[in-house]
Amino acid sequence: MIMISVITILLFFIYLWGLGFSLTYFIHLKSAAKPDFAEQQVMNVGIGLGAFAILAIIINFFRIPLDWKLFLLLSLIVPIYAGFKILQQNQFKFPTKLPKLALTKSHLFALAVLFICAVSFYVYASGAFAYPYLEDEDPWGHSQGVKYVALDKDAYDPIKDDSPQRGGNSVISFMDPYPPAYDILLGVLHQTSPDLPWTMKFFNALLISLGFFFFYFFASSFMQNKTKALLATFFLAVIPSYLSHFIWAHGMAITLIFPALYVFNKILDDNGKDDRKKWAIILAVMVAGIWVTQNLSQPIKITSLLLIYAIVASVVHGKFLKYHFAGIFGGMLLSQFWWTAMVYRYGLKGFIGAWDPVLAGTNADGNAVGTATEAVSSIGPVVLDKALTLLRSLTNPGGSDSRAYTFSDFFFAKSGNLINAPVGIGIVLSILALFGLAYLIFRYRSSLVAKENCWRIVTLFYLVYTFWVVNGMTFPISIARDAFRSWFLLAIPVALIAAEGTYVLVNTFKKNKLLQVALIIIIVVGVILTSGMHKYEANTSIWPTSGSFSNMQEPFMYGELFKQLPLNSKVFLYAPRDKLAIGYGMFSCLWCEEIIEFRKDIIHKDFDTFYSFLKRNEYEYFLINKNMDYKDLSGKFGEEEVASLLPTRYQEFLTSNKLQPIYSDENVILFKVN
Amino acid sequence: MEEHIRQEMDKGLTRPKKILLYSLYSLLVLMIIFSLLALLNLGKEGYQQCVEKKCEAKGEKFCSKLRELNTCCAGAGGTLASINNPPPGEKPYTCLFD
Repeated sequence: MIMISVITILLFFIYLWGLGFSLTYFIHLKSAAKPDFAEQQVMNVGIGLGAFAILAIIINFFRIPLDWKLFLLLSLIVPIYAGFKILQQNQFKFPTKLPKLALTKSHLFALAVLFICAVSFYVYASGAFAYPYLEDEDPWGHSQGVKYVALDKDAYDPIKDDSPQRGGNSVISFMDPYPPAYDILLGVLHQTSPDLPWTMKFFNALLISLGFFFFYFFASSFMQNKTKALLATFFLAVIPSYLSHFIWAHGMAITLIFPALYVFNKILDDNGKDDRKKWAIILAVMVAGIWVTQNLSQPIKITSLLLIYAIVASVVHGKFLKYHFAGIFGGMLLSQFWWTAMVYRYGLKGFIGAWDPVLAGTNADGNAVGTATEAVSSIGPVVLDKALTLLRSLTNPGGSDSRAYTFSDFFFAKSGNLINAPVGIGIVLSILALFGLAYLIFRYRSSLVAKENCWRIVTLFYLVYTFWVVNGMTFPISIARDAFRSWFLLAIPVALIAAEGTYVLVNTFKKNKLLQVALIIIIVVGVILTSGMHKYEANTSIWPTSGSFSNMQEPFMYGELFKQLPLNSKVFLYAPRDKLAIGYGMFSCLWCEEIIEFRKDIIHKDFDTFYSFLKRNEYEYFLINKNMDYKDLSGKFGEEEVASLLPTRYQEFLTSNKLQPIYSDENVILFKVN
Repeated sequence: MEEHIRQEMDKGLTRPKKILLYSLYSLLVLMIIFSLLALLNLGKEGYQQCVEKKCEAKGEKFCSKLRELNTCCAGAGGTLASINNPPPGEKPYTCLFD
């Protein structure tokens, strides 16, 4: 088991590094200015992440099975070819001497970033593994998609349900029309790592932590200063509002920003026209990867950030940056392998309805309301109305936890935070960011638009954009969707500006080295105490889980119970909560037609029918949970019906010798199916 | 380097650069104004307004949910607390301010 997981970790790096290497190989081959060795390898992994996402979507589009062996093969073709070419050049003689290793300042900085990544990974992973379940609701939903990709090697929903009642939502929560790149990545990894919760928790934490490495190399090329980049990386890692270890597609989408911005900078570098074209293709791959990872809201915001950069840099450099724009729009075009397929599958209305029912002109029950009804009577005003509704939808700041924010929400970091999209910056970091902001504005003034200061003005625009998005419910005008899911974007310019502020502050005492060191120590300790500690506490505390459970102890008890069973045993839950079995590392085919049909009338099935169903579908275990069954089935069959039939069904289960109870408490009984 | 930038700036900014710079400063000023206006969201009145807005937009059942009341209360700078035996028709929660 441990060995298999080690192999999967190796495979993870081979897939991503190999794909990134394949994309950049032909650029680095002829380019005179190659990046540092460590930078090249790390960024190959980052670029490979975007490449994996869109490659998986294209493979799926052509209905080729999403098999780990295929990804391994595709990621190794170019590296093997490159290795062969090197051997050929050396007349097939292997090098006998190791290359000389010289420790440079760049290497020391890379080691410091590695340390930041390692500590972050430790915090994220130890938090994720502090409890035996998946947190909240989204990760359980993702577990369905991960399992489906692992077993069926496909990422289109198995059952197309485009009825208006479902609003385009599929049987599997985060798949079809939701773009499934995140589930595909974890699903392909799960093919070689049988423990699903372990795979999800470990690789989610690893992805987010690797993001700090990607950020460092992006910031280094952006700010043209490794010291500032290192400071910014440290700040990003400790800001509470940057990603937590919550398992959802947002984590991967946000992580992908940095390799995309890194590639963006590469096109800006004064390379030849040919190189710029090749980097623009890679930018397209990265943008496409972002667009197939999360359901529109993050891709729209991230693309806005890229467009802001392209527009500002065009003005500052005094020329239209056509390769950058081509890369951005080319990527959006490439992502149509997913989006156009979805429009084709669900129809435009069904597709839009999955994203925003109001925009599609339907209510939750699928009935036409508002704008759609008006469509019958008049076309002209409806077009305008639709355009306004679209604009409102694109800028709707709402969302389950969006709210107006106060000064203290920004200034004081809190240990008790939202688990999916935490808020807050911290006292010392806020002061440094404010100092950096004031410095940039008053020191540079009109020279902000000089070429040398391009990154500074871009960062200021990023700050304005992300601060405004976060305050969508605080300010009278909102400019993007999902205010509360935008805090991680705000953390990026805050980290960059705070790094600039710190650098300037420390360099004020250039003549007194001792004072400089003391100041750095005070800042680092201050930031850790006022931001880092809160992030640590929020990420290592016990997070709540699905509302399906009866009480706080039950999910722990389930964890203990399922730990006793062999991994991936088939477990049937009487309540329609198959995702719980999947999320605990067991299996129930919630997307299988027979199971869906059987559940539609489960309460009326007598024991013989029920038992033959279990046997036919090879279920090895069966679990009843009085509270969960009553609550979930009442919603479907009505309280009276359930109150009268459920005790009879339970009696049948308990008196049958075909089901053997292997665990029971006052609420839960786990049976072995004989 | 900085001298070179200054000399370049002294020559005068191109129109697109001026527009870019003025846009940035205008947006920063607008952000400050909006942030000051947001002070009106604070306190008991801000809380009431937020709840009323939600009730108007999505109905009484929605705006009585604990989560919605909590976001309104936190947005107004308060802390939500439950009330024992609330008067009939009143919500079982209140927003407390320091």
